[in-house]
Amino acid sequence: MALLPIDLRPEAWVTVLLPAVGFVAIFASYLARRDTGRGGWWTDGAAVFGVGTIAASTVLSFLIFLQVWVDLGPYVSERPWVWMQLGGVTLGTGLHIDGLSSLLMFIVSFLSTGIAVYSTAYMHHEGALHRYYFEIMLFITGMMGMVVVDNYLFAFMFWEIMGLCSYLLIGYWYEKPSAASAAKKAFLVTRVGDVFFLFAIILLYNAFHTLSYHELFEHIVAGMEAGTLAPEEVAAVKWAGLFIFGAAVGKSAQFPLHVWLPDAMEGPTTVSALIHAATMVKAGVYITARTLPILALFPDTLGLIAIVGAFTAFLAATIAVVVYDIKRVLAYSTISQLAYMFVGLGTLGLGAAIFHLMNHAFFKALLFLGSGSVIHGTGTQDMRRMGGLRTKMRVTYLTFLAGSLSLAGIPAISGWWSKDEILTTAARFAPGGEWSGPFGLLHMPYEVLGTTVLALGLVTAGITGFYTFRMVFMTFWGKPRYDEEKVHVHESPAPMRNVLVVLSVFALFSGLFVVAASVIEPNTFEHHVVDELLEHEVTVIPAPSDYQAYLANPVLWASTFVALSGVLLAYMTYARGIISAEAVAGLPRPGMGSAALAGNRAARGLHAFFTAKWGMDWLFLKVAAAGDAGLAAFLDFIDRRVVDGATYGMGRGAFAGSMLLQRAADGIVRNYATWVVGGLVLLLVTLKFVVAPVLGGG
Amino acid sequence: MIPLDWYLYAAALLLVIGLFAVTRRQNVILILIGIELMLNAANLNLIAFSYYRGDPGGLVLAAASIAVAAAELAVGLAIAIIVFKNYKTIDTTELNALHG
Repeated sequence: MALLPIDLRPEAWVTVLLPAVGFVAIFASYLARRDTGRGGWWTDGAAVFGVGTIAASTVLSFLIFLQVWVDLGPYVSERPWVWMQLGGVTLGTGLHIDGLSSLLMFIVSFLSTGIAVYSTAYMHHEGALHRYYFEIMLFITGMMGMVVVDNYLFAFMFWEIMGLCSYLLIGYWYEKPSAASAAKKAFLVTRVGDVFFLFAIILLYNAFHTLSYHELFEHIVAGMEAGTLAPEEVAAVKWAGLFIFGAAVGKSAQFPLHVWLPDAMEGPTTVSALIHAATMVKAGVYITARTLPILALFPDTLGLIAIVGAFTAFLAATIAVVVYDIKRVLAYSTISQLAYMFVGLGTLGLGAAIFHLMNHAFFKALLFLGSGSVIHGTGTQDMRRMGGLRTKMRVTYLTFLAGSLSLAGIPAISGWWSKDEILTTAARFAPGGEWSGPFGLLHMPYEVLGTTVLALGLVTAGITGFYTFRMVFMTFWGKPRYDEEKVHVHESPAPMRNVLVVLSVFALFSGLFVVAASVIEPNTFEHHVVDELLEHEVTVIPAPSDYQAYLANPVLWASTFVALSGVLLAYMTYARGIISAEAVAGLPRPGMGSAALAGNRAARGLHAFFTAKWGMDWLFLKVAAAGDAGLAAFLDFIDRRVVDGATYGMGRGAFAGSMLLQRAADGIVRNYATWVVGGLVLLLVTLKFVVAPVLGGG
Repeated sequence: MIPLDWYLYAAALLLVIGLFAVTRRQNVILILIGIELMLNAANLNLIAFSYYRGDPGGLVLAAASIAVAAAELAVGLAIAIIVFKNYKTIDTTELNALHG
């Protein structure tokens, strides 16, 4: 029995069109009355219209999601919409609506609606609201578009739209130098990944003359199985896969291109929520998940993805422990959690990775919006100037706690299910043989690689529990550390609170919901998310319905144990004060002798190392500065000596020549006539004695 | 009967004399006369070829050429008169406002 009287899947493009219409309308109204300051019916109207279009898009996305998952299954449109035809090359796009893309459509539009509603209250005191709204509308259009299209070229276009919007929105307060610099950093660093994406597109089109996902994947997977692909085609696929991962590394902020994401905190908190939960960073995970059928053909690539993910997870988590800016803690936790998703993808746990993507989207949107509420209430982002907020901001505290439980991996809360699934797939990743790393520099058996990834993942799970609750306790527990005379902490207005409450329901129960569904029908989530080309490849964790097998998994126990230990450690340190964080980090405290301080040099060095973000920013600046200076000197030489030399030389030559010829123009007409006759004679002589003999004429 | 060559030599001689007048003389009137000589050298060739080939086309062309030459000369002399009125000279070495 059909769920709905009509098949909505071919109309999925409307979900992209709706936010696009919102963008165009708000942009037009921005142009019409550029000087709209804060508030007023004109601005409110734009906000309401924007929220309305995304909400409509959410409803449609949800219906399509239901049709794909419950009713009709995946849909790939037959006739693509043609963009341009150049000779024999037809560029266009169709729709690729399967379990993965319909799930993302729903998550993206749903969270965007929540964030937009929240913005109406959070951004109310800002100027330039039209600019804010049309930029987030375009951002959402970009993400929705990237998810529904069926080929790499259009995905790349929407991907670039997102790159532009992230730049614009991070630099929303562009008159602030740090915001302008963060916007440029985000744009340039993700641009490195974008270039890789373009390489992949060129390689794939060159080899196979199509960019459509299903055509490419079917052709390549069948060709690899039958061994009919030429060696250069196999190389093209391998490199394209690596380049796509490179693109994802840039967009999803993985090591070594993770440096832009923490700085992206310079934008409004709602923008951070949009970038971290719904759009942008999820695009990298999506494109990698989408490409997994061809990535899975090369275990070396998978190993690289897994090890990069595991290392990034660890690196980001260690930095999250030492930062004091509440948004930066969340930013590093995003990097860390995205890295878990890449671990899942790299060890072929596609279902687990997407499960984590979904859970992370909900709880990270909640946490960011919660931190926005805290910032709204206290006027600061520094956790050292918060504390004791749980009585004054009750709703914010409880919802933030819900998100933190999920992030920290407390049993039965959504993040716990998916994180454990990812770690379990990592433990079971064993393609056999030996992994050979980038350019053959690293070699290790896959068992060692899997163990390394698992160990890093487990350690990170413990650190995650610690930094999450460090954040909760520093912000909401203890005594107020702000100036109570000056700062009047207040709970946020109703639209913000309502969004937080709705999101906290999803953050708490999205995992349970999926688990409940798999109790009814085993592994239904994996079944829907995983492309049929991959079904025999991916690792599927047994459904919790078979609870004995599920509970017999040692990874589950280990990760739960370390996460809870991390939470307990944070409780003892930041809630009870039994352990002094300064003592552990070897930092100076009042009433402490210099001898004791000197003894803690190693700990202090480690703390400084983490605080300096592992020196990545420093390294980038050094490499970029040195490389840049050399390149600039070289280009300067080319520009000033070679290019300018050529153009100036031509000018000087022409000038000197004309100075000579000028003498001939003496103003005496009969001399001109002489030149004419002389030229004619010369022409005739040339024709007769030079041209004619050569051509063989008379 | 006079051979065709003679006419051609005569025409070439006329052309060179005309050319000399155009390129070497300073007086505008003499330059115009030189142009006339060159034109008539061409006319002489046309008529000579027309006669030797028995083709009246050359005669027609020469007649048209003479008419055009008359008109051209009228314009040239008129310009010479205007130039004299303005500059009190028709010496081309003095009329050198075009010099670079």
